[in-house]
Amino acid sequence: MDAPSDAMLPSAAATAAGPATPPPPCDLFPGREAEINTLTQLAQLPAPKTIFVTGPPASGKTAVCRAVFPEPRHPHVDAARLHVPRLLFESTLDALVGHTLTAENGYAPAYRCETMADWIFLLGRLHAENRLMPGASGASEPQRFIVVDNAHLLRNFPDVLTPLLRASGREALPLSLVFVTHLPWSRFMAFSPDVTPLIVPFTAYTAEQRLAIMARDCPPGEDPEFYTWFLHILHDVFCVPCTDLNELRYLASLLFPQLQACIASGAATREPSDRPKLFRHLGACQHAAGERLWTRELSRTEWAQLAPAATGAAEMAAPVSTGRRLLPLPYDTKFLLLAAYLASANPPKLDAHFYTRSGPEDGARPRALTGRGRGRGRGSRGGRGRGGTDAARGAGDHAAVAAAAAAAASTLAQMAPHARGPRAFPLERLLAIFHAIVPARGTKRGVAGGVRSSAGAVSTHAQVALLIALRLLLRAGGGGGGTGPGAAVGGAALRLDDVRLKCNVPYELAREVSASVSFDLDIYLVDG
Amino acid sequence: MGVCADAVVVADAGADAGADAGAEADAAAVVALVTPPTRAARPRAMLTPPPLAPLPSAASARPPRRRKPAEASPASTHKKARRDASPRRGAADRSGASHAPTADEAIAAAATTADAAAATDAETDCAAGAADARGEPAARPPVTADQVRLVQQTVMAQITGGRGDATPNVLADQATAVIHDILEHVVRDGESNSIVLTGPVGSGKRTLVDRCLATVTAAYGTPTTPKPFLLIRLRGLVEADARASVVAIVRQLHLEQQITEIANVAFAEALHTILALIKQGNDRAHLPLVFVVEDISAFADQPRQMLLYNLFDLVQSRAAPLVLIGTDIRTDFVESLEKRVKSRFSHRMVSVPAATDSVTFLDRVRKRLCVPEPPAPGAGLALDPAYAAAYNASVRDALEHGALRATAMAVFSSSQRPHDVWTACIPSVLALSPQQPLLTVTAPSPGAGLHALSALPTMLPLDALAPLESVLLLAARYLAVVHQCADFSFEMVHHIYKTQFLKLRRANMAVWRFKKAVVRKAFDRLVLLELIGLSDAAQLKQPKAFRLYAFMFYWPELDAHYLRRRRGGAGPADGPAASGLPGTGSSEGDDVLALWCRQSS
Repeated sequence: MDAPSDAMLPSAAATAAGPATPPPPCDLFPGREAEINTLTQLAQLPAPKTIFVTGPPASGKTAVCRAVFPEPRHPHVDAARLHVPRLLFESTLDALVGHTLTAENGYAPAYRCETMADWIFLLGRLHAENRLMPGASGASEPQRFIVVDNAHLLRNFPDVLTPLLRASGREALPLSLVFVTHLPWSRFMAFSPDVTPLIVPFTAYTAEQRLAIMARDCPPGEDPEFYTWFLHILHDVFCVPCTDLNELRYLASLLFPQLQACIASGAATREPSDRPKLFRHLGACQHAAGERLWTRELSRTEWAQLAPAATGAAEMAAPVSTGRRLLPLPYDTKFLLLAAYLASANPPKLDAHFYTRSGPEDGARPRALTGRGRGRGRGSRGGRGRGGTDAARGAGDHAAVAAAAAAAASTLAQMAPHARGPRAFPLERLLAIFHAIVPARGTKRGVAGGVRSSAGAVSTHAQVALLIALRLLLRAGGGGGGTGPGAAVGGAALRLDDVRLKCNVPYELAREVSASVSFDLDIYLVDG
Repeated sequence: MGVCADAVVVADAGADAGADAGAEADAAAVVALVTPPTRAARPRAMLTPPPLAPLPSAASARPPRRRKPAEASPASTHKKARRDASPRRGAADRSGASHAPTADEAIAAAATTADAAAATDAETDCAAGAADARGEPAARPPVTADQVRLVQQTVMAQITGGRGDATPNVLADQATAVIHDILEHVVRDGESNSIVLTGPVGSGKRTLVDRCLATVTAAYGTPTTPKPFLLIRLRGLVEADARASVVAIVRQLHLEQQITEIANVAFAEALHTILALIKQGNDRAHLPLVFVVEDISAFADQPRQMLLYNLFDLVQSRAAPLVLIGTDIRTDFVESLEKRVKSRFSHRMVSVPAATDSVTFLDRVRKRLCVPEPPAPGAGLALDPAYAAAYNASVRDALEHGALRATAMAVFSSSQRPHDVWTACIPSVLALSPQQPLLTVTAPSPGAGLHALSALPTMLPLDALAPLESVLLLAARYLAVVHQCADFSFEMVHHIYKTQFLKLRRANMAVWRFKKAVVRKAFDRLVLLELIGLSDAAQLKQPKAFRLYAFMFYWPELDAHYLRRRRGGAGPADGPAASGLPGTGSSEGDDVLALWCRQSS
């Protein structure tokens, strides 16, 4: 007996939509029925002049808008491509009058339109002359929508965004703007504090909806049930760091061939009895390679080269292209970089303990006082032939440092190195540490050490300038001139004498560099 | 009148009973729609009929609905009610035997008192609609989809139409008189003047000016010159800078042929050229100029306030008959003027209040939500008068008793912009359907319309966060609570994540352990979502991992969010929580987050 009411729905839709755009089928967008319904109705009824579509990234906003407001009729603009507002005005006018940029017209826009006022004037004139909608499907659906994707980028043009949001000048035109963005309205409120548009919220997908959408990527010829099983496992692992659907689909597209290869090799079948075996195989892939794919350490191409050859987890975890990641620096420059890292990491008052040469038995090696290796339990202190007085002094200092650290255990002081980041240091300190840690060639090459001190100074300064240009060292003040990267590279504005620097290298990279020159970085680092 | 009063009481009782019945029937219909149409469910719905017969006790227990005594002249409404009665009776008869008492009584009451007509219409339609939706035999649905679509179109056009002649602001009579006076003087006597209207957005300033212009045009227009003045509109938001305003003036006076080069001319010079050109023309030489300047304070922000200075100077010096009507939302417009500009301004400021009391405000809100009654005769499909009345009654009801009243009152006490209420109503209007032909505003739907006013915290995309991203937010919160660090860097957050969060004693903390690069990616997504942002621009010069960030919202909201989510996860009706998947929405993930949230405070 539900027939009458049920039968009414399609007829209602048919009469409402008329011969114009059919509403997009909801099964193309699982979980977006309410949003599609709202937008479709807005497209068919007199719509508000400003519609604000918001929702988290990868929640189908753009796709739904493209389906509900199809392209040739309703212009779509991506704000990421607009570096000046003129492009917004001209491209929308082009789309509205059906003008395409071709070689014949010299890729010139239909109307030259620099300002918001011109745009509104042209829109009004076109509307009055009835040229706004060539090829329109009649008076049944007279309004048009301009969909602005990534609308949050329009905030760079406040002079444009405010009139657009407030529909200034468009009151009488059948023209609505649809702002699509992942930011909530509160981030736009400053641009239109007293006028709130209609907000169409897209909610985040639930886990079921994500899986349902990903299941539609099932490769042809594959057992859908098997693919769903695979997706569940993948989803369980990767939905914790990120629920972005695009990311998950990317991973699925890369990892599923692994599973297929495993089956093709005959190691397992698709039967449920073999699922634990496949699960183990997949788990190895995920943990070894998944995170590297995830962080784009491995690109899709590199993965394609690596994956067929790799059989176990170890190969997948191995670095593929070390050359890309390691810095191709000269040998001495690497030491300069390490010296800069140490200068940024350690407090200056401890320098004396690290880098003084206390006696001939020490040779060229500097001594490590509190080398705790950042909690890696190296504990490589003592044992380097320290003199008696030095040992006592060092022990006292170490105790003071430890006591201070203990006292500040739960205070901001403990966070200080994390908060502060690398310290700024003067150039002299960098050079002093550099000369202390660089292997003294004088012992091997005889008089060469003497040459370094004069000619080497020039090359050392050149290397510092190189590191600044590479942004491995940052200028923290002094040095004259501007502070932009251009000023650093230009060199003319840079006076190295009074410059203060900061090391812009994370610990991981510093360790890699130190390993490449077989230098033990950890024993020099003060923890905390 | 005594008889009539009795009849009113009877009608009210009947109507209330009918309302009960309608509500019951609606509920049953909803049940029937929600549950899958199995064979078991439907007979049950039919076997437990709602208390359709008027229950005297229930009806008398409820206070009779308050009505305004005179909404229309008795004679006309009486006639109208009788005219409406016949289709209604038919609908009621068709709606099924069980409804007969209510419907009959309602119709009898409607025939007696015109006042109850709208209400009974509502109930009849409601009952009939419910009966139909429930699947009882009905020859014809009472409200067709076309009718619903017509109401939607009418209401949406009224809501979104911008300028509404439908809702003139009754409070602006004084301002109307002043503007009209000024316009009359300039047209009749050539008296220049300047005036600024101030009032909140949506108070009807522009509508007021337009109406005055129209009446003056009608009064003084002659066949040869239909418009007794030259109108120039300037919009502060788009035409504030000197070049744009000159271009706008030239365009509106159709002087493009005479003035081609306007780029490099000083504004004063351009204005005098324009005036001279107008004087040259024979047909328009004697016509006064009327400048309508919207958002006039935007022109005050321009360097040297060229436009305002020149226009006020023209008004002052009486070089040409000219009227300047400015509108703005700022009441302190005069303070923003330079001295030389201020001294030339007439200092006539009229304020246009949006609403002084809630009754006028609600009335204004209601007018655009209702369809015109009797329906405007238009081409094509005409709106069924009975349905129109029922719909309007539902709007009135929602505004007087329903959830819409709360919304409207919230707006009244904050922004006083009826547009906010209308925008909030759009989802309800879009939800109209043959099954639900009357306006039902259940609750402020999350995210829609009024969100900006009432539910700002939930606008944060916290629900869209992945678990790891939530953990990082909570780690930043830990820094704020325990270490009193308002600003935090990625290294600090990662440190807390590693040393505090991963040490939580829970069963399955291994799934939360990630490499630094993965954590960094999650952190970057928080930046993308603008939940956190650089604490100042100088941080861009710092190494990436040590740039200081700050919350871009009031961070104690996090506690409420995660503790609430945990409660929601424990509830039976939470959809995502039932999935059993670890990760978002799973109760286990929520438990960990809530525990972490609690422990760190």
